[in-house]
Amino acid sequence: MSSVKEAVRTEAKPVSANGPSIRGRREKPKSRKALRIVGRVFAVLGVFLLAVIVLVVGAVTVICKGPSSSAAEVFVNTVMETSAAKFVARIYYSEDEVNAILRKYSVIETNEVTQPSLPFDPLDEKEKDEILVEEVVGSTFRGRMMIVRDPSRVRVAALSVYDGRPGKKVEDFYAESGAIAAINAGGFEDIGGVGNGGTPLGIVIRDSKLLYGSRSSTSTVIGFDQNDVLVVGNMTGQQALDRGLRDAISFGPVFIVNGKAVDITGNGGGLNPRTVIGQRADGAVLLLVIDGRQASSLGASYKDCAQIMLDYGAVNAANLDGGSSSMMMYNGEILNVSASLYGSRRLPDAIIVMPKSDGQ
Amino acid sequence: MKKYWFQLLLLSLALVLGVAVWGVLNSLWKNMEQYEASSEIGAVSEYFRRFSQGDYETAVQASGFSFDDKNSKEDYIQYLKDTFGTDFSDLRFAGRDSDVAGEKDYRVYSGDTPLGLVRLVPVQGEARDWTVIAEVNYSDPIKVVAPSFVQVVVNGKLQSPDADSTVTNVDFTDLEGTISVPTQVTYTLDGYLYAPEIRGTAPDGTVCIQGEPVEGTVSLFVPVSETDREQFESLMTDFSKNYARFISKDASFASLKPKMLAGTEFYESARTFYNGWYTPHTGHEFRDVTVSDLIRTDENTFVGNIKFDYVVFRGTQEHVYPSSYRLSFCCSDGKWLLADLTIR
Repeated sequence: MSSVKEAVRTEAKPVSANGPSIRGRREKPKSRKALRIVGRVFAVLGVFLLAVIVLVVGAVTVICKGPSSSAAEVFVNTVMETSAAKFVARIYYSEDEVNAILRKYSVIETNEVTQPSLPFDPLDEKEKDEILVEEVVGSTFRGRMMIVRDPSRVRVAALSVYDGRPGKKVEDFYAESGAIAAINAGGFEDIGGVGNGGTPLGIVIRDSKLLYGSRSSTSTVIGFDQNDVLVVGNMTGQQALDRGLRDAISFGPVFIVNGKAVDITGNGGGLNPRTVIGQRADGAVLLLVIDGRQASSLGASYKDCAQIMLDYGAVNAANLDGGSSSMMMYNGEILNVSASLYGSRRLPDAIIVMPKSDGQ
Repeated sequence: MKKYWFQLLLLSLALVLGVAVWGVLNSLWKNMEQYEASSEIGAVSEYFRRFSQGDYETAVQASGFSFDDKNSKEDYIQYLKDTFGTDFSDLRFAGRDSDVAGEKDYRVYSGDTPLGLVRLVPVQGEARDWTVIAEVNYSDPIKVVAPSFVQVVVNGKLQSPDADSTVTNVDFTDLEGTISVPTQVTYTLDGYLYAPEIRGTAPDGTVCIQGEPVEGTVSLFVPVSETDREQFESLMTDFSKNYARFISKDASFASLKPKMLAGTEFYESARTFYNGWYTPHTGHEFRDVTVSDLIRTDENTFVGNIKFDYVVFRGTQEHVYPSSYRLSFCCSDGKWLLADLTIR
């Protein structure tokens, strides 16, 4: 109100020849008024922004240095599993402290490998068709479990060549392979968080050929043998070929091997989007994708994932790449909500489910 | 005031937001407290954090462990230290459902090495929702075999033998019905965190010696007293030499007979033994005679081992017979007589 009165008073004053024009005199108070309004808007926004910053910093501080060391440890594990938010943990903890917390929440590595077994009983035509997708809900997560009754339909989709060129999105693997379903699979080299998804970690085997990786280096291999048995465990590329794996990638850790769940200390990691593969004793393949890093689903820990797999009767199960890589497609639709605001990632490979007509 | 309405408004907004932020953070703090109170990992971490500060008393009290002559409080604390070590910097805890409904089991690892198990029992009205109790693995049960006339004291407490455990001493089983045979009894010791201190005492105050444990069984022996030792060694040496001479036809059964308890199986076998086949020879001697393991099996019996080389000369030739016997003696009418001889 005071600015309007000032403008009226200014209009009433005599004008000199060299002075500013009436129009100019009228514009100046208007611009001042506009500036003042803009300033006030910014001031209000600034106060809100300050409140948000104090809230966020305060919340992280309460979590990290507050009354719950357990919550702090889960938080540290969660952010340390991300590509971009690792720095948050390092603000509050030294490198040694972070490493100690990460050690406390991990999977006790097993040297056991899935034992060879006989082919599964033949399925009738109806069973071969069967693909179920169920919602999986926990206290901190929401996800989907896809149950593929016929394990012979589950394959690895890979790049035609691994020469440093970018990887493909799960949607691309899905479309190009003619699959009916797909999830992400192995990890990739992501130095500095700028990897293009074109360089896998470990090995990639497709159609019994080693497409990528060393024959002599050991990694946690997840793949299917000639009898369509899901094989999980640590082995070299050569051992994987000798074992007769038709399709395989590397990631981990292993959650269940030969019917025995491995010990997981703490929660076995933080709460994050997860992708897990498993197989029941009857051969059905379990594909689990958990949403994370969002209000509707914070994510799941390794322990949560292992328990889900046990609940679904898995006798062999292992973790696949998670975080922003987690992705599940079925019948042309993306079933999960990607954690990445930029959409799905480029990846070196995927697990695909071929339609029944594949003839396998 | 009108001139500063916006500043006042801004200040009010800041205050309201400040209060709201404080409220949210306060709520978060309380939620964190609740989370920690209900956290299984938090409870286990706290359990070992106290250990790292030297506080074992809290764990002792929470354990509900009953302390008695079998296990003292110090034993329990030592057990915790021995099981989980004293370096708690690298502990990891792997949880799983317990066999007991509502409880949780956590396996404790140091790095990748499993150390032990703790049990989480739900509680109410405490600072935490879980009480942590270390799983106790008692040492293997021990069987103690001792002569019946011996008193057995374990960790300072006099023990009663197991019911119906009285059996004839193994060295006198062939003499049942012939003499009053010495017997032995068994004590079963279990529920101990550490192998207990076992002490056997004969009525004359002689402290027993313990044999090496064999498959979880410890035998108690009453050593002969120094005053008896010389006499018993002499009895064993004298009879053994006579027996060897009897076999080689250098002595008659008549020289053995007064030293033996009549009517025993061994007596009869010696009496009917024909030694006329033994080749004539020019002399004999005993070398390296050693008596060992002399033990009293009761007030009127003892056993011992003897070892020697019996050398028979035939011209310039000598034939060496390495000999080893276990001898059992019993006292009959104030005289020590051989009850049995076993070649070993």
